[in-house]
This record gives sequence, C-alpha cells and structure tokens, in this order.
Amino acid sequence: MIPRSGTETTLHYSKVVERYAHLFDRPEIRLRFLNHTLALQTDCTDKLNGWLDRFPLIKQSKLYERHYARLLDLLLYRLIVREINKYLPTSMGERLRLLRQQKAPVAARVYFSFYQARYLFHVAGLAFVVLLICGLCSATVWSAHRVNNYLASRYSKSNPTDTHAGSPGVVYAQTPANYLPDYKPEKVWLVERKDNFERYSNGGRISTDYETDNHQRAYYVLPHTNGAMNVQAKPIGELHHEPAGLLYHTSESDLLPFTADNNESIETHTRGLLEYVRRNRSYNYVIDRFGQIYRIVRDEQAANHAGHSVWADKQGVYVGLNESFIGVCFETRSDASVEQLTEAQLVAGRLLTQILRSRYQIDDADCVVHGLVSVNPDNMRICYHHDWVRNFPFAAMGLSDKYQVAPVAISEFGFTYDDDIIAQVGGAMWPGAVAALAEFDRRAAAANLKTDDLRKQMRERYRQQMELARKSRDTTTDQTESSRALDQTNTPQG
Amino acid sequence: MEEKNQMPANKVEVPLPKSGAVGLDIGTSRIVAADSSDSKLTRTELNAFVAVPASDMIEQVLKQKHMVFERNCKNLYVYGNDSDFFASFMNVAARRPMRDGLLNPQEEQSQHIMQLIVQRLVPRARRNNEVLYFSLPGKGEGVNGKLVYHQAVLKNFLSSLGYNAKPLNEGQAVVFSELQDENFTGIGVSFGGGMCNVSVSFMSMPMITFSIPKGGDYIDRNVTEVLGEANSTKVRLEKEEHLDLSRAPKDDLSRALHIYYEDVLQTLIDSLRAEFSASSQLPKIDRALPVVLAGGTARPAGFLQKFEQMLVAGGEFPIEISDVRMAKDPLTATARGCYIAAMSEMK
Repeated sequence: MIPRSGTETTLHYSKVVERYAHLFDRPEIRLRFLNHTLALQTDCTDKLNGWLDRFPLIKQSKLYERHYARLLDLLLYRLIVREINKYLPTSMGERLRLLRQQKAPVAARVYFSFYQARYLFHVAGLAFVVLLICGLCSATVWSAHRVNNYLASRYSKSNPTDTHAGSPGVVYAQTPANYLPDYKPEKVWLVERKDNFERYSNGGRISTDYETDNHQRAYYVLPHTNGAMNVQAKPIGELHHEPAGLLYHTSESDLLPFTADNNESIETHTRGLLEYVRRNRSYNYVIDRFGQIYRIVRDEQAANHAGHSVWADKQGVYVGLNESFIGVCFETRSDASVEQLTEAQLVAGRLLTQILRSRYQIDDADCVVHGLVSVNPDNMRICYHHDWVRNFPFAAMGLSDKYQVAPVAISEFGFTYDDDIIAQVGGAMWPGAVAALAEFDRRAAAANLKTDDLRKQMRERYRQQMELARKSRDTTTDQTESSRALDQTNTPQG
Repeated sequence: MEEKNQMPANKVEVPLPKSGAVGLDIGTSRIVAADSSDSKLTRTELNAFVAVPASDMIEQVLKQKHMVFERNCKNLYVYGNDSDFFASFMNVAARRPMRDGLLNPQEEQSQHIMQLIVQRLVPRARRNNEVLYFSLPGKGEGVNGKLVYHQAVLKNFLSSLGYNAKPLNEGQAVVFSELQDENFTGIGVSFGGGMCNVSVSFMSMPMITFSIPKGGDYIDRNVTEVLGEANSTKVRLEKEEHLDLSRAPKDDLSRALHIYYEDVLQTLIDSLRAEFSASSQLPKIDRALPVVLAGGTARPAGFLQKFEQMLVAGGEFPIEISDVRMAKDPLTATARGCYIAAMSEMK
C-alpha cells in the first residue's frame, strides 16, 4: 500500500470520521467530535512519523509501505470509538437505540459493540493468557518428562519392566526397589586424582594403593538362544572391551567383631585380604568394613572374579563374566548372621555403583550378584558360588531387585538346581530361579522335547558359547594366563 | 473626567449565559450575542452611537426616555439600539465605531463605545476560561494589516471580561450554524454592513477564507452619493423595508440599489471563482457543496434568487454547488455559529 499524500489523508480521515458524526444531533457535540478526532489523529500521525524518523530502516522497509496506512487507520478507529464513547449517553440501551436511530454504519455498530464489551475482552484475554501460561508450563513439564524418559532410555540399555522380544515370559528385572523408587543414576565425574586416590563428585573416594594390572577385557555379546539349537552361536557385533556390568561378591574372609577396640585387627585383616586379592587379581574393587573403596584390577582389565558364569540382558548373553563385568567385592561373609554389610560399606557400595554406572553407562539390569550368575557346566547346576545368593541390598545400591529376575542360565541354557543347592541358599530358591525353571519347561514343551533332552542340547550349546568366549579372550590375551585365572576362580573362593 | 449614566432605569440586566459559552458577532452595523443556539434567544445592539454636546436638559430628556447614554465632561454619547432613534430625533447620522468590518480609525471613541455596547450584551465571565468566540473578517483587499490590530484589541477587551476569547471567521461561523447536517461542509457567506466574508469549509476545517471590502454600507454610501441624497437614512430605510431584488426596479433609488447589489454579488462571485482557481489546499471533494447566505445585507426580498441567477450566469463554477440557501435567521447566524464553536470547546 502506497502511503497517501497529505491532502488525500485528510480527505480519507474526514470521510471516515464523518460517518460517525451523524450519531450526534447537537451541533456543538458534532463539531467537537469532528475537530477532536481529526486533531487527535493528526497528533497520532505526527508522533508516529516522529518515531519513524528515528528509525529510517523501518521507513525504508516494505513493511512500512504495506502497513503504514493501515496502522493509521486503526489508530483512527481507536480514536473514533474513544471519542464516541465520551459523547454518547451513558446508558447502554440508549446508546444502541441512538445507533439504530441514526442508521449508523454497520462497521460503526460493530466497533461500538466491541468497545462496549472491551472489559469482557480484557477478562477473556487475561484468562487466555493465564491458560496459555499454564498450558506452556504443562507442556514444558510434559516435554521435560518426555526428554527425560528419552534420555533415560537412550543412555540406559534396558527398561526395568521390559521383556525380551525373543523370550516371551522371561523377565530380566521385574521388581522395583522398595525404597528410593525414583532413584536415577546421576552423572558422576572425577573431581580429583592424586597419587594414591581418586575423588568423585558424589563423594566417592577410591584408593589406588593396591592397584594392579591384568589382561585387557575382551568379550562378545552372544545372541539369545530362545531354546532353539538351530540358532548359530555367532556373536552380536564387534569384540567389546568396555565393562558391561557390575558383579557383587563377598570376600568370605575372616571377620572380627566390628568394634572400636578391634580397629587395628580389622585393618590388619583388610590389608591381608587386599594383598591376596592383588596377588590373584581376584576383583576389580574391594570395599573394606570401614567403607574404604580400593581399586585392585583396573576397570579396563578383566579380574578373575566370576569363573563360569552367565547373565543376559536384552542386548544378549554374556558368558564368562570376568571379561565383561566389573567385580566388586565387599569384605564380608555370606553366612554372617547379624549383618552382612556395615553402614559404611552400604554407603561406599552405593557410591561406587554410581561412579561405575555413570562412567560406563551400565544398565541396572546388568548389576547383579555373583551367586545369581555362577554355574557349574560339569553338572549343569547353578550356584557354583553362592555369595549374595540372598540378602544383597539392591535397593540400597540404587538397583532393582535381581532376585525377581529369571536367570538366563536356567531359562535358556537349562541349568538347574537340586536339594543341596536349595539347602545351601537357605532352604528356598529366589523367585527368579523358580520362574526361570518353569520357563525352561515351557520351552521344552513348545519344542516337543523332554526337559532333560532339551537340557542336554542346551548344555552343548552353552559349551559352544563358552568356547567362543574363550577364543575371544585369546585374541587379546595369553590363553594360558586366562585359563589359569579361570581355574583359580573355580575354586570355592567367593 | 468621565461620568457614567447611573440611572437604574437604563440598566438592562444582562442574562448570564447558562452554559458558560458565548458567541459574539461583532459586525459593522450590529453586534449580536448568542448564548444559545436558538435564534430567539440572541441579543442584538446597533453598533452605532450619537454624540451631542453635554447639557443638563438633554441629559434629562434621555433619562426620561430611558435611553442608554454615557456622559463625559464634553459630550453625551447615546449608543446601541437607542442611537438610531436618537439620530432621527436629532436629525443627524449615527456614527459607527467600525467601518468596513474593522475598527473605525476615524472615530476617536470607537473602542470605548464598542466596549460599552459589548458590555450591554455580554456579562463578565462567572468562571475562569469560559469560552467566547467572536467573529472576525477574513483576509482581503486592504484589510490584512488592520485585521491584526482589530483582532488584538477585541481579544484583549473580551479577555478582560474573564473569557477565553477566540476569533472565528465570519463565514465559518455561518457554516457552523447552518451546515450541521452536512457535517460543516459547504460555503458560508456573511453579507455584512462593512464587508462580505466567505469561508469554504470541509468537515469543519476552513479551506478557503477571504473577504471583499463591499457590504451594506458600500451600497448605502454609493447610492446616496449617486442620487445626491443628504444622508443615507432614506436609502437604508428603502433598502431594508421595500427593496425586492427579484422584481424590476421601479424608480431611481431602487435601480441604484439593484446596481450596487449586483456589483457586490458579482464581486463576491468573481472572488470566489478566483480563490477556488488559485487554491491548492482544497482536497478533492467528492460531493456538491451547499452555499449558505447570511447577514443583514442579505435580507432584502429576492436576494437569494439574485445570487443564484448571477452564480449560474457566470458559467461553470470550479466546484459543484448542490444548493444555495438562506440562513434560518440571517441576522443571528454568525453569532449562533460562534456560540456553537464556543460550546464545542466547553468541557
């Protein structure tokens, strides 16, 4: 729209104002309305032009050309409505009657109606703004939840309630923690590193006094078998070197009464334990009774802590967890009748869990105890080691209860348990083990096989996979060293 | 030493304006005050006076006749409406404080007499900033310099009465009083005693204003001269009471009056044409404009027809004229227009 010339503008405004002047019978009011409105419009125009003169860029823009005249028209209508309101009777009915009598233009009546209802519009506008703000807040919160869930799913390998697609009925993690239900592993970072310790942002302090080396981790993630022998035991993806999970142990070492007068003796015992563990490269971490965390075998290296063991998550199956899981050992015993962990160990265990999960993005589903993963392939029994086969405080570590999870050793590979094992674990198997056994029976039925026949087949399957895991180790480490370590951990040591 | 006439009988109680707004038409022959848009409620005084040497006898007669006068040490001044009667009584011509629409420089007492007359019509303002609009001639030939003085003198005097005094073009005042239905768009012409004033108004805004130095006095003076009359009283009486411009003149006096009326009208129409042609300020008005005629000089019968005939006879007019009409009350139209302007500014 091309800006109008001065004379044209005057004529245009006058015509607009004239339409509304007919509302007024009395000459002085009509004259006042005309003069005031046009004078005010001139003032408005001058002010607008003065403002625009200060911003020449706006004046040169196409926006100015298009909308300048429209803006002035809007200002004029605003003034008209305001002036009409001054001079018309105060009664709403009289005003409308006057508008009808004077045959005011429809536009005038509409404008006037809007003006009359302006407070209603104000309230409606205010309500709209409030609703908009509430909506935006809700949308923000909702989006944050969605983003949070997405990030959680992105950086967490499994959903605690997720079931494996290929193994319907097999539950990897089912029961949430009884307390700290909303706990999420927080981002933890290294704050300080000194010669003999590391300090982390969650308060965790790791002593490196006993740190030692072992061979580098190397493992494959194997596919779920689904109980079918025709599935090729080919590994999923590349050879992995990063830790995939945490495996908690008990040291099964001698424990003195935890009293102040035993300080020195307790520490002496701890030093003995640490020397032993370092010499045999038994664990990656040891947490003593005072809650001090010691790193023994470095994280990127395998410790000899798991022996024959198998665990699975939705990614796949891990066989021989020395290579894939970090071993964390609490200085305690499985048969301790009163308490298995000191308060300091609970806190330290939680802190270390946070540190390691944060550093290696370890999923909750892959934080488990040694007793649940340990197997004996010779007799196809589980619980070759039974440390933490009960009473591990998963919740205190910020983890879900793995006693509810069906062990893959039973549900897929057909490992089983007998009365001796039941007696060893306290007279009753954990719920996950019972569920896994039923699942294996269901698979055998589905395959039209007797359970024992399927078990024999799966034993062979396990051996194949164990061999594959062994070969993977041999690509990066000395086979003899690995075999020795494997043999060592198969001794009845935790 | 000045001595005012203190007689209660001579005191006319000036009604106070109800609204606080006053319109004042200060014409060469009459001063009209309006504080209502009703023409019946206007007040008029002749803008004239008669001065006679002061004597106790004359003063006594004036008092008996309840005439309005003022005495100073030398003279008695009879002014306002009584001046006409007193002039006839004394067989002298009444003197005018104004001439050709402006203060008469040849009358020493012009300002003082005018103030006396105005005070008979307009009371002092009761509140501050009561608005008073007074009529003012438009610019024209031989007027411009004097107009400034005329305006300043009147404004100062009216302000001294407590008013927020503002001038208004006479022609525009006619527009305000008569062209409300057209939203004050049209041509207002005031045919006064001293001059004729024209305003072309668009939506209450004067686009063209001008005056011509010819009016009723011009007609009277010239007719008197060409007919060799001793004074203009006979001419004025003939003009005001018997003249019919729609009929052919029947004697020398009416013929002369016809001639000079036509001269005045022709001058005005020519000026109007010239102003329209010369003006660059006029917006492109998309409608025909009405013409309203007012003023004492427009009162003779047939004036309206004469004006229309001459307008048509002159050929095509620069703008389209919708109609030519006479003001409802030609004598008070200007004062009422001033009143409307004043009212429009009242809070």
